[in-house]
Amino acid sequence: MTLRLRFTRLLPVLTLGVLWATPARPAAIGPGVAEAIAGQGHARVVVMLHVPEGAAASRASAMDAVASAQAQVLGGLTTSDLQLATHWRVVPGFGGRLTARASRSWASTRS
Amino acid sequence: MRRIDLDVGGRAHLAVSVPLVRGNVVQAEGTTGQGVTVAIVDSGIAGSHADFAGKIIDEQCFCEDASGYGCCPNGMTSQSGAGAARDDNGHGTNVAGIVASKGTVSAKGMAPNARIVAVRVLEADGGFNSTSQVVSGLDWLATYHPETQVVNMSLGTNARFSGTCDNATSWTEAFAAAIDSLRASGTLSTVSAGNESDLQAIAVPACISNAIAVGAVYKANVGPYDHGWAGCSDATTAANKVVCFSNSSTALDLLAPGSPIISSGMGGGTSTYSGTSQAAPHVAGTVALLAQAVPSATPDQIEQALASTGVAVTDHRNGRQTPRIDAKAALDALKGSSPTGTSLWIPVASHDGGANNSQWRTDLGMLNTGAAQSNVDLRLYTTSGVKTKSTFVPASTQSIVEDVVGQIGHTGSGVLEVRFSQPLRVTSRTFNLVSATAACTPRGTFGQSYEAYRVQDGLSAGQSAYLAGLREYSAYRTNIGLANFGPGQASVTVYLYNGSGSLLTSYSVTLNPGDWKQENKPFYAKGGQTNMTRGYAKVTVSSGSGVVAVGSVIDNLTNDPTTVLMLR
Repeated sequence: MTLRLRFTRLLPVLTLGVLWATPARPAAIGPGVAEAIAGQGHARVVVMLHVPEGAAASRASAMDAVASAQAQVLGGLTTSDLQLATHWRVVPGFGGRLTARASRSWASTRS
Repeated sequence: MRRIDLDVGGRAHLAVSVPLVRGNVVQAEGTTGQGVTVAIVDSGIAGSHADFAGKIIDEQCFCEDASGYGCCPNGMTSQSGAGAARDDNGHGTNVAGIVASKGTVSAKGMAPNARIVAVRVLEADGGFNSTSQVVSGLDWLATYHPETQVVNMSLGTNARFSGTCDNATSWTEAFAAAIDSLRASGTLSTVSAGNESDLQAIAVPACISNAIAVGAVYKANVGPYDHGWAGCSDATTAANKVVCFSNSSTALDLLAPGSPIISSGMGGGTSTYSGTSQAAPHVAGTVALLAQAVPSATPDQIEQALASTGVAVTDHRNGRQTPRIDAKAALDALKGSSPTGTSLWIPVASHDGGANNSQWRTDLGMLNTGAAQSNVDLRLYTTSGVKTKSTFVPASTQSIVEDVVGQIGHTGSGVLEVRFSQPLRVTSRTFNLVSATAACTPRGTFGQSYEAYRVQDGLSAGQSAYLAGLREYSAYRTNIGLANFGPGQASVTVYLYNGSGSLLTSYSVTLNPGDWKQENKPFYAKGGQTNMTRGYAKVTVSSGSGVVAVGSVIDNLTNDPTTVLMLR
C-alpha cells in the first residue's frame, strides 16, 4: 500500500516586486508583505542582507561577514519591529515576523 | 538589507530499485558508503530502527508551527542531540532507509555503510511552515558537519518555478546561499522535484542551480498504478517510465526510481511510499558510493559522472530527455579506469560488400584536444551481439582507426558506439574501394562522412525529421538507414514523398537498442517507383528515443556516395 503525507497548510507564495530602501541601499519587498502586516499585524518573512564582495574568501571570513551584516541590521531593530525567529551563520539573512511598526518605519525611509 | 519576501511553507515529497540503478553491483565490488556522512533533512528518523543501528552520528531539529510554537520533540523550535530528530511521520525514516539502510529489516539502501546526520525540519503532518527552518537545517550542517558529502532534501515548497530560481525571492536566495556554501565545501545537495504533475516547473529548493533536482521513474512494471493522493494514475507501468506525478522543467537534472519503494518504517518495520521523495535519496546514496570510491572527486565531478553516464529516459509527457542514474557506470566514469564517461555514436560503420560490386569500409577519427589521455572502448552493435575493441588517444593528438570494423573483427555493418574517458571529437568516413582493375581511378576511393551523435541528438517519440534530396533512378540509387542509440526499443515510420509533395508510401521499422537497419532503394522496394528524381522522406518516431535517420545517394556509375543528414 502506498502511503502519503498530509499537508494541511497552504501559505502565501506571492512575490510581487515592491522597492523599499534603507538610506544606504535599496531593498526589494516582495508581494503580500504589506498586506499580511495590514491584516495580521505582522508578516513571516525572510530577509536577505548585503555582504561585502570578497567576504567569502574563507569559511571563517564569510561567517564573520554574515554576522557583521546581521548585527548591523538587527542592532537597529527592537522586538517591536521584528520578532526574530532564526538567523544563520553561513547564509546572509534571517527569518522572523515583521511588525506594523517596522513597516511604518521602513516606509518612511523609502527613497 | 537587500530583499524581503514573505516566507512560505511546503511539504515532504511522497514516494526493487537499488538493482535497477546498479547500486547492488557497486556494493558487491566493496563500495558501500563506508566512512561517508549523509545528511537527511526531513521529518526525522526512527533512531531505534535496526536498519540504522550505530549509524546515526548526530541529530538536530528546527521546527516551528504556523502559530510560532515549537514542534520539535521537546516542544521547542530547535533541539540538538540524540532524539532531536525523532520521526513522528515516517517519511524521513523511509527516505533514510533508501539512502543507508543496513538491510536488517528492510532491504539494503544504496549506501548501507554510510553514516547519517538526521535533521528534522518537518512537522508530524509532513509539512513545513517556513523555508527558514529548512535553511536553518542546511546552515547548521554547513557549520557543524562540514564533513557531510551529500544532503538529501525530499521536500519542497508549494511554489514552483520554471528554470532555475536562485534569485526569485529572498527565500530562494537563502536556499541558494546555503546550497552554494555546502557545495563549496564539498557537499552535494540532492532534492526532489515535487509531485504535482507539473511539466514546466519544479519546487524549491530543487530549482536552485547548484542543487541536483531529481524526478521519479517506476522501478519496474508494477501494473496499472493509481496515485490518488497525487491526483494522477498510470494505466501502464515499466522500469524507467516517468511517473505521472513527477514534476519536470529545464532545471530537472536526474531521474531515479520513485515508485513504489519499500524501505524502513516507523515502529521497526517497513513502509512503502511513492514520490520524487523516494527518487532523490537513490541519488544521494549513489553520491555516497562515489564519494567513498573516489575521495578526491569534487561535487562537480560527481554530478558530471551521474549526468553523463545515466540511462537516457524520455518523459512521455513532454518529450524531455533526462538521465536516469546508473551507479556502476557513474563509478567507472569517475574512476577513469573505464572509458564509460561519455559516448558518441556513429550511425553505421562498415566492412562489407554492397550493390554494384561496391566494397565499403569505415575509418574512424578521434581528436583529443585535452591535456589527459582518453581511454576508448569501441563498441560495434551487430546482429550477433556487441563486439568491442579498446584503444586510447594520447593528450593533444588525433588517431585514425583505419577500417575500424575490420579491426574489431567483424564483416558487415552496424552502429558504432565510441565510449571515452576524456572528451573526444569523433569523425568517420565510410567509402567504397575502387577495384584495382577498374577503368577509372583504380584503387581509389569515393567516400562520405557520417557524423557522431550524442543520444540526445536523436529523435524521441513524437518527433520527426526529413531526408531531402533523395534520387533513385538510372543514374543514382538511394539508401535510407535508421539507427537507435536509445536505451529501449524504438518504433519508426518512414513516409516517402515525390517532389510534388505527394505521399507515395510508408513503411515501419522496429529498432532494438543499438540496431542499424537500412532499406536499399526504398522508393522502388516500398513504392514501386523507378524514376524518382526528386524524392524526400519524413521519418517519425512513435516510441523510443535516440533515433537517427541517415540517407545516402550513390552514383551508380562510380559508386560515389553522398550523405543525406536528417533535417529537423
